[in-house]
Amino acid sequence: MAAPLDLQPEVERFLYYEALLLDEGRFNEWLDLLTDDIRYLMPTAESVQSNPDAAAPEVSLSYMDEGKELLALRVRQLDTGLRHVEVPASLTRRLVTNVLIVDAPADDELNVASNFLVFQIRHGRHESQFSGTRRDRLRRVDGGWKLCERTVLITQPVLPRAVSIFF
Amino acid sequence: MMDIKQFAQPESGKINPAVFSDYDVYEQELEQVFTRCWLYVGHESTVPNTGDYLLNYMGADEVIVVRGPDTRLRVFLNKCRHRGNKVCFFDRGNARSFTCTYHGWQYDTEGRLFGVPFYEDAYLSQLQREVNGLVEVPMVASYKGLIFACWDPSVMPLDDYLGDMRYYLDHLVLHEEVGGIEIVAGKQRYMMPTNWKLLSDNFASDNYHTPTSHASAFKVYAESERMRRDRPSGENFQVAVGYPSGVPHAYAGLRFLPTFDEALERDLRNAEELGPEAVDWVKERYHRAELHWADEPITVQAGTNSHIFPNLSMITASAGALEARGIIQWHAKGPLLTEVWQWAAVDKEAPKVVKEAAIRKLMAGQSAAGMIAPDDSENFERSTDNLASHMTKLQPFDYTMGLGFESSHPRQAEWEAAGFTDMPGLIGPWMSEVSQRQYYRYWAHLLTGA
Repeated sequence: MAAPLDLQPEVERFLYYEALLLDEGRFNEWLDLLTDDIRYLMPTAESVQSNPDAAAPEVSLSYMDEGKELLALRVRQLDTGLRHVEVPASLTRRLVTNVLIVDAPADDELNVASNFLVFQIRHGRHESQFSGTRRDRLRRVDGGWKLCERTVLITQPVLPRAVSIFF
Repeated sequence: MMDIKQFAQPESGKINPAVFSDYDVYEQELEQVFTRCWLYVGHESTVPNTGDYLLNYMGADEVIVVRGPDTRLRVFLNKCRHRGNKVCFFDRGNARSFTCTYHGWQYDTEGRLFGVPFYEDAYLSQLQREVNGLVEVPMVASYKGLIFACWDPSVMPLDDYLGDMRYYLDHLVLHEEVGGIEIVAGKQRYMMPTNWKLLSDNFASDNYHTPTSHASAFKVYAESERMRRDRPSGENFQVAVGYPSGVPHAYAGLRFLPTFDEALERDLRNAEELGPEAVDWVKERYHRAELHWADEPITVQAGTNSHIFPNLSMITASAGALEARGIIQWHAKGPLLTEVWQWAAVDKEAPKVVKEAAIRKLMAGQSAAGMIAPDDSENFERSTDNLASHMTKLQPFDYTMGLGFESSHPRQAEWEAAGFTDMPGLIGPWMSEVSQRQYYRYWAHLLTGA
């Protein structure tokens, strides 16, 4: 189905609100924006000079490939206060841009692309930036939107630091 | 230049932090460690066909690992002989030749220079092509698929270099008795702002850090019924390979059990959630393992973290039929920065559903974005912040845990009676710094010749 352009403000509002929750460390509220069947995938990036005869890989290693249960476990880990890499919490600022409703795969679903730039600062001076693009699927639930699939494609083939934040 | 003997005294458990921050030491390591040791460069399963190649580092040097038309694996500097430009630009792939994009010199996959633009006009046909091939790393050898290379033609054979570590690799990582491993597509890469040796010595045997560093993960794991149920019985040990004077490798979190029954029961329980294919795989895998290791009175069945000198680590968790193995390499980028590479190995013959579940579990734990590794990264970032200061350099780090009790632990007789100390290498308690002292003993030997 073609992209329903009239939904652009709603979709942007959803993504900006999500970014606000993450920047403010409101992770349990963030979990409420995810459907119970969410798949959150963050692949690795390699440059490959392909062999045309090579078969597509049967399985591959990503950075993250998780459902709601594991994402909730991560939030509980943060809530212990003993997740050292987030104590004190990183200062983060998420810039979300290039929001594009790609199409509507079902009556109540949208495929949405967006770009992001995340500034992360630890201990007042260690600065990192993560840049990337996301391929999201949003689902209409009880009149609002929820995220039911996210693929995070980080631009940097070598991550600037180990990942302790959500994208 | 720093006097290494003064700054590294592993025999008394004192290592001065300057060896983790000094640029001269890093340069000596490039000369004396990374050119004289066997270094891991890749796995055979990722370069199966003629022309398949991958890039890796040997110290600071980027190398091409490539399979030639004669099926041999060769390792070359990724460097044109004319002006030193790179000749290979992809992380991995397949190629018939490597061409420099500066002036167009062309090398085949056996390293021979075969193409020189304007050979007659520019060089008057005088350039000796046969001595201008890619610089080849002289020593290349594999241990059951793990490819190693070394710049020193007089290095001991790879089998001797690995020594008793082969026993543990066979049982906990490579599993040829069930068809061996494959490295799956995808490689994690991330920066850690610390000295590469601190990561190596952590993986070698630093179990002491786990209850504190990983408290948050263990706390939420403890809430999980499955985690409680799957907790293995028995006691954790570690092994110092190469003790007291050989090449130091280490495996930690080892458990020795007489039969595979407990592991089989655990894996069958978890395989049921993945379906009948997974159940069949678990049964088949333990059947083959029991046949293969039948002569061993006790068998090593779990090993968490391990290290092969100088910069290769592995994470193997419970080493069961549903587990992936993380292969980790610590690439030094100067004294204060490390680029971490991590691959995932799975049982080659396992069904797809098992491979996928195994990789997901690895990603959630000791992994770039997992629930374990980032907390290590944080601790190393904090300690490295302290390395550059003057007063820090005056106070050595303490590596004395277990010093003097390497072969005479108070429970030594009990372990001997149980047969644990008959296993290859020096078996010791889970918490000990013997392997770290070993690591710096050999490291200092390479730097000083003493």
